[in-house]
Amino acid sequence: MVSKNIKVVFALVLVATLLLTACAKGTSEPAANSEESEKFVFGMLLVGAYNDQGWNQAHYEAGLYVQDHIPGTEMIYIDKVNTADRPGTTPDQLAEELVAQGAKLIIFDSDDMKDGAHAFAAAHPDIPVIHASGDGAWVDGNAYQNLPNLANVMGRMEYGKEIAGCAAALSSTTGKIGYLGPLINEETRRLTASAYLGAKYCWENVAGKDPADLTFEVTWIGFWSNIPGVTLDPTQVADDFFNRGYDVVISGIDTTEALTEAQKYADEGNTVFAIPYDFKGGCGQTSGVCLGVPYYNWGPSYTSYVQSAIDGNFTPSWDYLAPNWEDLNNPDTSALGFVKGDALPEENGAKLDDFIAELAGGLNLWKGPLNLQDGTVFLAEGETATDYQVWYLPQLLEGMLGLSTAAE
Amino acid sequence: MEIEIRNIHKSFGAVHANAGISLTVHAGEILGVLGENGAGKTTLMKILAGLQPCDAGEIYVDGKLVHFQSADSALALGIGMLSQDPLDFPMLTIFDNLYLGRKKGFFIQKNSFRKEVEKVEDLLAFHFKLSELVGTLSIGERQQLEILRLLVYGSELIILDEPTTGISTQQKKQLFDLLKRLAELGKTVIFVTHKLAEVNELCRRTIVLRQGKLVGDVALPCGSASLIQAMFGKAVDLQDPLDVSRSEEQFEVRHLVIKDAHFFSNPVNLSVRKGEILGLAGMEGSGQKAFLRTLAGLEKPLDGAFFDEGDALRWGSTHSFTKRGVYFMPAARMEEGLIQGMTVQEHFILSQPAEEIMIDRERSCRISETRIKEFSIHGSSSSNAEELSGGNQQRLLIAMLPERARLLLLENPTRGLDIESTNWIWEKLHERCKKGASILFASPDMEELLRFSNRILVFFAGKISEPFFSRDLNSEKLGALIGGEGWR
Amino acid sequence: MAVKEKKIGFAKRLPSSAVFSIASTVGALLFTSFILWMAGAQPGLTFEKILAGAFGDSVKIANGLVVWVPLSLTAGALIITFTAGLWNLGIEGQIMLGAIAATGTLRVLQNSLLSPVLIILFACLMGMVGGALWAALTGILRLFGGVSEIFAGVGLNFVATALSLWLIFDPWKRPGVGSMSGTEPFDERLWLATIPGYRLSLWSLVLVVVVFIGLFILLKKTRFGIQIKAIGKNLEAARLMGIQTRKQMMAAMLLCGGLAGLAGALQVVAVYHRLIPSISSGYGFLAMLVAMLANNNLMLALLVAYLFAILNIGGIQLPIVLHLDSTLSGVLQTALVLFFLIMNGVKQHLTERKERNRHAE
Ligand SMILES: Nc1ncnc2c1ncn2[C@@H]1O[C@H](COP(=O)(O)OP(=O)(O)O)[C@@H](O)[C@H]1O
Ligand SMILES: [Mg+2]
Repeated sequence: MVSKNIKVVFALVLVATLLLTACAKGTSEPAANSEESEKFVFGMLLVGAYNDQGWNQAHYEAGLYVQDHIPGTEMIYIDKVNTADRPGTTPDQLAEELVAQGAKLIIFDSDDMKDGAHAFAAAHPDIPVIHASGDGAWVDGNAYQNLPNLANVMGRMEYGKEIAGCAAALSSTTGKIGYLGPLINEETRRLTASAYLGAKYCWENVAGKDPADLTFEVTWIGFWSNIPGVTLDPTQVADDFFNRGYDVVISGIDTTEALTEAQKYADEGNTVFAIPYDFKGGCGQTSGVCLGVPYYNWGPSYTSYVQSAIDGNFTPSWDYLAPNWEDLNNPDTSALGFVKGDALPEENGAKLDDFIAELAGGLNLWKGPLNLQDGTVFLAEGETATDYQVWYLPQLLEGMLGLSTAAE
Repeated sequence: MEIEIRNIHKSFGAVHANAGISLTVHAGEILGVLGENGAGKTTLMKILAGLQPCDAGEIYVDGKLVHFQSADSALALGIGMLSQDPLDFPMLTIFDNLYLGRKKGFFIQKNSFRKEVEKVEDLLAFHFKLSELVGTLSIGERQQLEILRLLVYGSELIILDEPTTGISTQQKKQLFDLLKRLAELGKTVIFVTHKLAEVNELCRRTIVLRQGKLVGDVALPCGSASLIQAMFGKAVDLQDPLDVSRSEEQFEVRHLVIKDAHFFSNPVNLSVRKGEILGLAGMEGSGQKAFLRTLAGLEKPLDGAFFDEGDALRWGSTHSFTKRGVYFMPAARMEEGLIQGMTVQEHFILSQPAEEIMIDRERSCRISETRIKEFSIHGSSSSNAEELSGGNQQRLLIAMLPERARLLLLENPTRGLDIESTNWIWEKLHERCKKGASILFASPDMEELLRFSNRILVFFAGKISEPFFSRDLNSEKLGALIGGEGWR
Repeated sequence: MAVKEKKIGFAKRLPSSAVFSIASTVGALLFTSFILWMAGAQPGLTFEKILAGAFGDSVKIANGLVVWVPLSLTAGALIITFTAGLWNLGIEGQIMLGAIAATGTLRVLQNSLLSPVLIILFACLMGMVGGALWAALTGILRLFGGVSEIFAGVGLNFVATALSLWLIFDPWKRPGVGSMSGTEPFDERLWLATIPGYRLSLWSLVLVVVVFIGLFILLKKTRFGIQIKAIGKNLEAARLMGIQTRKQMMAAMLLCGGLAGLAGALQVVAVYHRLIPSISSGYGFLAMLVAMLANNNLMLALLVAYLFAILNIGGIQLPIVLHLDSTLSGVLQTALVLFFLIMNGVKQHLTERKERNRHAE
């Protein structure tokens, strides 16, 4: 009985392997190989889907930008690099898969891949590694790794979020602004706080309303995008905001649920707005709900990293890139930008432009007096925050609702 | 109609299933065909009903030589055989099932056919709701329907091959009544069985087949000893129960109230002596099974206690019962008793209580071989339980009862066995009794109960009688009790 | 006589078993090819990429083995419960609890003076205890609460997921951070030594071999093994034979949970070096398919687990090279099991019909 079963399944496994081999042999090797050797292939690990209309699509399109601007380069990528979507893998292992496919430079696009990026960089000193949003190459940072092949890049999205916050405050009638937060870390805290600072500034100084009437609340879903059963459902979180009288939801996650839900509520006759994040085309096909989108423009910086790798003069650096204030939305020079949405009336658009001009002129919202959420002083009167203080913001700011850290 | 068969021969390879059988069947009689399994009964009947050609021999119907090409041609001459599993269409109505098989003209009206059916039903004194689906009928009713069908199609001789397997005592009684009625109407019935009691009950005449030969043509009723001798070719000596009047009581049941799906019983007080055999009589489903299972620790009673040499046994874990040597043997052999996909040897390993962690393959192989021999199980140590025939499975079950068993609770221990095997199993059980084990067994067979038990408990609709000494009972009295008569 | 019957049966069985397994494999491949074709991909090329991804170089082969270790350990664990007739769907939770217990142990002991070897050993032991305790919960619910082990297990899987998320986002979070990327990685001295240049640890390979030899002895040579087999095939009959069915079923659950916990602990000490939300990597469910396909045979489980592991590893190539979702190898895995079960059903049906015909004659 037993031996019969053995034979059956053994045959099965054998046949499976043989057929796999046979099928594989049946097709000829793609002839592109010799050509490829002259190409410079760079690899990209995306934490979410490459077409998420958000963070990952911004990176993906930056890769296409590099291909367009440096002839002879080719991007290969793996998306959904996270343990829920690709169980049993690690980012460094996946990076090695890219190397096996010929990649000579690897871009890790998420803070969540920090350990993997560092491990990979350490194990492959010959391969330049760009860890977007990381701080392992920041000599003064908390996580400095001293690796000769590791660079970090991050746009100063604080500005983008301040503009977003301002747009939200100008559009809100209820004075209740919701923030759809991803997971809690230094990056997300400082960006959320920036949105709050922008909102508060415009609520008071542009719209001239009472600061006591402004409510700013963040709900963290637990990850950059929805993972059913693991994270909170962003759709539900957005619904919840709208149901509780919040009329603007600013998205901090990489996907577009806030906007989709706003559209749904607007279609039902409510006056609600949303502000997506990350990606230039983030407003998508919606009508009358998108106030605009702060976005990253990774293309120019990636082009220069790839070029230096081709030229053989790649050096580690920590690049914290400001926008081009001369031309905020210039695709070749500005590391971030803000595209106004169709829901922003001209009048408010003009006010927003004024605010942007103020920022360009040196307005710094990260200036004392500023307290942390628990009331402790963050910046004293007249003090402005250093890069270090902003980057490693330990808590949300006073006046913001929501968790500062995953509960102590 | 009178049927004569002359010198019928039929071989399957080396097996001479029918070796020159000659026989005359008279109109209006119920003829028994008795023989142990493999004697050639079914073969002969199939030849007679046109289901199988014979190698040699002739069949005469009312003096005319006939040749059957098929069951239909036999039926056309008035010979019909009840198939063992009726091949009807469960999704059709009773009427359509009957109607489907008709041969006469294509245009016969349903109405006139219905009248024909009803006429036969009147004769038989039972009526089906013709619009009901066949699938809703019980096995007994399906047999009736099959008989009805044969009669509607003009059967004069009806052959039934082991029709009592798988039907209840009640259904059996109904069947027998119907057959007697057929005989009264002048139809001829051939009744095939391997059970002595059945021919004695139903027939006036029986033939006995053994190894393909006709070895007896006997007028009934007659003593079973000579029939047994004819069936098996030798006398089988029957064991009497031990005299236990002086042996000590080892098990005691006090005020035990058992529950079944439909009822709970009256309180039972009972003590069982060493070596004693107690029979549980009653129609199936009267509570015998629940009683045995309760004593085995498999089901909790509503009330009462069960003592083993003074120690109360606690319900909750069956293991605490088996540890003390209380074992239950179910009637559902493959469902509850044996394990499909495990070998005979594994069954012996499993059923032998032992403490050691590792299995001693050699020793268990030895044990298995000796048991197989001792209990004459046709099969090897490595046969899977389901590969054994029913009788051998039954023998395996008995052989598995561990040596240390002190109370055997047996549900139909000789189910499906012929008389020889039944006696043989009882011989084995008697050996257990001599070593001090007590036995409680349920059986649908009154003969078996009366012959092998010291005392008998009768179950009727949840009522449990005081124990009767079997020597004070006979089959009439017991039959009445089982039927609910004569209770105080 | 029984022997004779068997011979007849064999002679009459027309298509041999091999035909059925070939048929099911071909069926699975055709089915997957069809899906690939629907998705606009070349099936042949896809299969080739899977193979290249699994065997392209020594690192990939080692990566396959990294998956093979927990997969085969878990499949082995499941074979115990499957043998006992318990559908231990809670296996995922048991892996997770093993990982959680191991992480907890490492956290407690990481600053102690104990040698790293001892700490790792202890973490693995505690992982086994954690998995076993989690399995015990299912066992108790099933044996004393009358809750089907399927529902109990699935429920406890949710609880285990929630527990590990809570630990990662709250008490064990990285300083100031609540992130899916897991807890702070452990110091490198607490990593199970790997072969230099590879992710594979020789120790875990050795462990698999030892565990499977142990399992073989347990299932084939001990009374416990044959008793749980009996329980799995016919609980009622086993009870009537005097087997302590509850105790042995519980023991089967505990053993299974322990091994699953060990797999979870290895995920922590040998692969991720920290607790991550999906630490079980779905190996529990995959192992169910493995055990089913292997028909609860240990040797085959090792083999099938390897087949599945290389499909997993090979599948990573698909999104890079062909922009196909790597879950396609999951489709192939599931299709294999599905077609195997279907073919088994067909076979059984045909044999039964043969049997019936034989009896009817
Ligand atoms: N179709 C068959 N093929 C081979 N052997 C058969 C067949 N039918 C019956 N036999 C054999 O003929 C003998 C008589 O069988 P059967 O007439 O069925 O006996 P009974 O009905 O008395 O039990 C048995 O040995 C049986 O194995
Ligand atoms: Mg017969």
